[in-house]
Amino acid sequence: MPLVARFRPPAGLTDLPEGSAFYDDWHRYLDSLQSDATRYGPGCVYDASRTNVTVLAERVMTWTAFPRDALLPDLRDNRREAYALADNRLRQSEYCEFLTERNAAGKITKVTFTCEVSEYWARLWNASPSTVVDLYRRLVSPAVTEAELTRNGVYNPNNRYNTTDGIAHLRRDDNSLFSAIHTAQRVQFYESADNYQAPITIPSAVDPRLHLDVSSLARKGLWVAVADPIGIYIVNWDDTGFTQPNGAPVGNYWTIQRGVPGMVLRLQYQVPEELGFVVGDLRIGGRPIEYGSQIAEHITVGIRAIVGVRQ
Amino acid sequence: MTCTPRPHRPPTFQSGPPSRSYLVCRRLRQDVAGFWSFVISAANALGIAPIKFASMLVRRWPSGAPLMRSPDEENLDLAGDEWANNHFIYDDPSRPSPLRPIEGYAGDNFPQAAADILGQVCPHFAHIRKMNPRDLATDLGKPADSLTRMVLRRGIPFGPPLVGKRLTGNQLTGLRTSAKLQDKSERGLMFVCYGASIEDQFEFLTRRWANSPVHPNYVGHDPLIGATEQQGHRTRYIDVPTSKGVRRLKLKQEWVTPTGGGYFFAPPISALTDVLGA
Repeated sequence: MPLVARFRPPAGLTDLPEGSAFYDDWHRYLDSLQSDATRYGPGCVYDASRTNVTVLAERVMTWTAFPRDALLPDLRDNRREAYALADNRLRQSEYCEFLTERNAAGKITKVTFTCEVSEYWARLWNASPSTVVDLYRRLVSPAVTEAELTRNGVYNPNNRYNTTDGIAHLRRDDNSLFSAIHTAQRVQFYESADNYQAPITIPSAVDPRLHLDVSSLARKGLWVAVADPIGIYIVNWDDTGFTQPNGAPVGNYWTIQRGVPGMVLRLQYQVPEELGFVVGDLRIGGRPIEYGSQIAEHITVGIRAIVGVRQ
Repeated sequence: MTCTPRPHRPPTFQSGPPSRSYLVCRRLRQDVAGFWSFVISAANALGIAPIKFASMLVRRWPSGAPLMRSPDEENLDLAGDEWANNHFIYDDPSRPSPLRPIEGYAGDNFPQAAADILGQVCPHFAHIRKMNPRDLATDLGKPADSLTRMVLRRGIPFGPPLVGKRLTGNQLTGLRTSAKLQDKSERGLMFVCYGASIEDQFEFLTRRWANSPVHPNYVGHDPLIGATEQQGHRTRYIDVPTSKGVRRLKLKQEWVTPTGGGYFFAPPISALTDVLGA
């Protein structure tokens, strides 16, 4: 019997009551994205709800939220310009997008990171538009109306509250679950002798990571599947070296807004108001925080995979 | 026409001249007795031989022989063969290197390294695997990206050795009940490295990889030089592969403490000849 009977929503979210048809719809969508079992040399990628494999290990494939192609190769020696570039949402290519908010003085007050895919929100809308509106009101703005989230009667992921006036979920077309699973399951380098010989030219961090890791596993004759609950997650963040205006280490200014530790979908960085200073007053390694992307450098994104052998 | 000078504002992110190196020097005090006390205690709890466990933390046996080429036991001959003791990768098996005949050298006839993509021989947290991931994909992307982070480094020991020059299994057995484990003499390593950018190389390796439990590969802090400070909590952890599955081990002690050091500019040869020597 396969390991998974029905794929859960990302991080096991329960935005709708148990028994909603949404959960079957979400499972069918994930099932449609994956191949039942496709051989690549001695190894294989498979769908954990279709094929039974003895799992040997979990493999978390991680990368940094900061968009690599904003820094390399052109701006390696001009990090400030790279940071400014990376604050543009449309440049955030590592399956993690973030919104930097500032006060009237131009100082950063809040940075919100999301790894939630638009496919989830579109299907949630199909099941219950009011649930989506409620989520927008809670996470982005209490002023959101249903009409503002639609275009021609269907959910519009590029609505104003997910573009110019806020952030709810990923908006780039290629920051999708379809794209991530396609990348992980398109095993390109299973015939390479080793990773040095894999001709990768893609400028992001995530694509080489997924291609090389899955190809390496396939070369060893292992079977690889995306682990349930399938999602793209913020798996870790690190604020060591962040300092307050008085030079003391920062407190815990992080808030998990969606997801659970290890599988975080939405994360916010904001200094509590009572402390009397804002994110833009902090320093990282002695440098003032001028861009949200400086914080993105310290956030780790990942996909969880299971690795095994065929019974 | 008069010009009003713009107020000077130091650049936030400094770019430097392309032709130079930087030297990083750090004096690292090492609590060698404390390290071995931990190793003996933890290895017993995990059911792993203490020297093997210590070697998993480092990636090499005490002699310097790499775990990847000799997974089960110390190998002094391999350690002494400089053509072989650094010839391995992690994700895939190593392959014999065709070498031109070298007088007096019979060739690298040691068993090649097997693939260890899951970190079951040399764990992902092992100090040298974290600091030099070789062929592995990392959080940065492909292996070529790791190369831009590498430094030329040497460690110069100071202080009296805890026991002889090379620790063997027998010595360790004696050490367990020995007063040596109470020996807190000042000893350690003078770490010296050259690089093109202190921030992008030495500081990157220390902060982003050694200090991280998830970079460059999941999961565990660098048990030797890694440190963490999360709102007053300094406990680190490593996920140790054992015959009974993966065991998470919390590391409450630190054995390496920086006690001094500095950053130095190393001018190019042309600066010595054309500027200082002019």
